[in-house]
Amino acid sequence: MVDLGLKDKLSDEELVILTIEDQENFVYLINRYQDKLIRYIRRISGLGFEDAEDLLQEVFIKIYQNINNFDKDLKFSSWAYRIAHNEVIDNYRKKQARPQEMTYDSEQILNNIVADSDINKDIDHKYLQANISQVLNNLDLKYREVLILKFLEEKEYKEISDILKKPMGTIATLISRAKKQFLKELQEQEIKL
Amino acid sequence: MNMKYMLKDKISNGMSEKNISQEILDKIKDVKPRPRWQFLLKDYLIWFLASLALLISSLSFAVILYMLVDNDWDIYASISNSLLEFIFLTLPYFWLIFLGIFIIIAYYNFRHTKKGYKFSLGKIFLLSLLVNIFLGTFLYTIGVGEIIDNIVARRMPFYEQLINKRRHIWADIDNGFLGGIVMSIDNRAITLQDIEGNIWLIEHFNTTTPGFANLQVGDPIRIIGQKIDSQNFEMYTILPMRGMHWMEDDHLPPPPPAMMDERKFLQMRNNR
Repeated sequence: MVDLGLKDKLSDEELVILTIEDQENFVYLINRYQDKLIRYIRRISGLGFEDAEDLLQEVFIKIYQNINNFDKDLKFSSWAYRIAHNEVIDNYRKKQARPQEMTYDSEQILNNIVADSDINKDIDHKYLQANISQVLNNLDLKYREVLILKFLEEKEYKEISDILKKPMGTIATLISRAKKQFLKELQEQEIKL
Repeated sequence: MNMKYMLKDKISNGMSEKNISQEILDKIKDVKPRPRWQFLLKDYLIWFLASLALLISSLSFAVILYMLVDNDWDIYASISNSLLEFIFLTLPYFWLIFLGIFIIIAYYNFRHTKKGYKFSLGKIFLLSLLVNIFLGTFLYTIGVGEIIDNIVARRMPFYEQLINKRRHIWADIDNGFLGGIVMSIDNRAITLQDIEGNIWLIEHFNTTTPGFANLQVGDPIRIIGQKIDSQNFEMYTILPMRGMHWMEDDHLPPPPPAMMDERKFLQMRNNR
């Protein structure tokens, strides 16, 4: 039996092994990932909190049901995000609903994109803060999602590749196109760049 | 980290970490994780299907190679107006489509293996093509391409229209193309059973034609010449048949007599 205090210090992968042995240990993984995953679900789906919470529960149930399929070559977080991504897509298809308006951290996403691009950093922040959600919500889901993973979730290319199950080259192309579409969208909204 | 994104409504909903954890634990109380063998079985099945598709596409490649190598390259100018026209006329379209379909099936299955997503479409296609080239060439070398062509030729009723147009070319006797099996040879004429099973008498006056000296009963041959009537054909060029070996089994000649005179030939044809 592993000491309870010690379990918080175990790696995700060790917790997976313990969860297979004893269902109760799953609570450590839930506690570790619930905030991250609900934030991610809300960011890509635009769902309200209660709907996102329902989806989050479905995600954790899927994670538990498929825990024997966890690939140890992956990070657990990538695997969990992948399942969350799939659940959001399934939910989106089932309900055929457009994502709702979502509030994003404009400064974080913009600073990260600006740092990654050759554009003027003298940006009309107030205007941007008010319109960033509209800009992001106007992007295609595939572009919005890679931007969120790269610039809000701050995932590496390999992690994004593992989450979205696309080759690294495709991820690089998607991010590049998403940035272009994001900046174009900013210009169309007449945000000073 | 500058995190303005806050789960304010989480707090307003009064949800605590304990609540959601407990809710999930309650929900999974009666849920059992799917056993590992089910995932392994699925993985193995996908790999098996990908490998099978790759094997079938390699078999198609072996047949394509066989049909291309054993094509009428030596006399393409007599068959069509240009090399390009000849290629378009005799390309094994059926097998090329078959190859394409199974490469796509192999790609689809490989893409659904655990690590398949890491490879781009181009890389997977290139890899499939390389496997097809190496395995297909090996299968062709050991004669598998010919065996498949023979089997399909005997069992597919629309073979000449759909798969091997060369059969149609060498049955076009009105235009001077006669393909068939040598039934008898004497110093004045040869008798030949064509692809459709008809018997032809071909007088020859020039036994110095390349390949003619070695001609034996049972050989599949191609003759370019002119139809004289429904039983006689004038020969301009005689060449050994390339490919289409299914003819040999379909039209096995009777045991060759030492010499066959015209009376016997007529009797044989009348008996058909």
